[in-house]
Amino acid sequence: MAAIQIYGVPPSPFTRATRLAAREKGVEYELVPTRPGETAPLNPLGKIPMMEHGDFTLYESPAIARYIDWTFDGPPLWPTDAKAEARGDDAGQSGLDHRIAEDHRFLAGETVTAADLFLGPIFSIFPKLRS
Amino acid sequence: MAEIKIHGVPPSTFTRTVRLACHEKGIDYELVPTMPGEITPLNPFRKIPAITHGDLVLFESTAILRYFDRTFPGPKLWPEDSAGVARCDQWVSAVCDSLVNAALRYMASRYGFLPVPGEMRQKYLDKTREVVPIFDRQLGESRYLAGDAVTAADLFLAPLLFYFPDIPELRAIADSAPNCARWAREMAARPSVVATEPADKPRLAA
Repeated sequence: MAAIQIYGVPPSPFTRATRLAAREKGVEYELVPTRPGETAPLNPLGKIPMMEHGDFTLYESPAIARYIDWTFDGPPLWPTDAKAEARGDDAGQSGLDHRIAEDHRFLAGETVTAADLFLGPIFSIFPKLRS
Repeated sequence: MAEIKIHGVPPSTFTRTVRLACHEKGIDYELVPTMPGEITPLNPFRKIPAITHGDLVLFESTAILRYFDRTFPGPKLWPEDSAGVARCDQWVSAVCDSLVNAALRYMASRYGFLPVPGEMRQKYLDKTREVVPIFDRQLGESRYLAGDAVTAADLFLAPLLFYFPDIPELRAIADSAPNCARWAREMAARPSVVATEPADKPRLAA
């Protein structure tokens, strides 16, 4: 049985960010197809994704990604020193910065962090929207 | 000389959140008055606040608060247990997304900082009316947003809710949220909140 349930739909970039987090950590999950507006009673704000881990439920994708990182073994999604962790946080919340991309291999340094998992699903949609 | 420099201005809700965190944790800081258009060297996304600590430059308020919490002693802004951290993260994010994209944008348009069509402004107001009751319900279940103690989540919510009484349409929404009102009274009494009260609040556009 899957360790956690993720409620959302594949095209949603935030759903994908939480699925990426689970995959990167090696956590088995079940995707429960759920569209925005169908989230009650788990999320009164009506947004996807949401997560269930036993009787613990959570919404807001940064909170879900961090919870997965803290709770399960596997490669860390946030660096472990305070300064690098802070850079991972600010990169993840702001989206793409060309200068950051030139300076580092990944958004917050030389390894993949949560910041990349949030940017990737949004950035991968761009080519599909070319007019 | 203060090691931490906060670049921003007092009326900015996120600048206030970062200052509140310093006061709550007892961190000495210097406020360097900086408008969004002047912040580019520190934050290419042109948003305030940003901080410097030695050679570390950091933007995004959530990242800044978390950095303070890991780096400095003083009362914790996030709980210690995994579920508690997650719950706090959830409410921080809910404020920064759902409430900011509704109420803060509505305020910005009313204050003339964000010129948007009336239709869009109305959408911001409708959304605010929709999400405030969710915060009100939560504050009916627990004393603070993420439990029985003040956390980062409250420091994000407070500067936003404190603007509601200044704008009649938002005051009406706040008036029907009794738990938010009880919480706002408790928060208003905290020394951190008193110390960061903006002297010059923006005025409503004519």
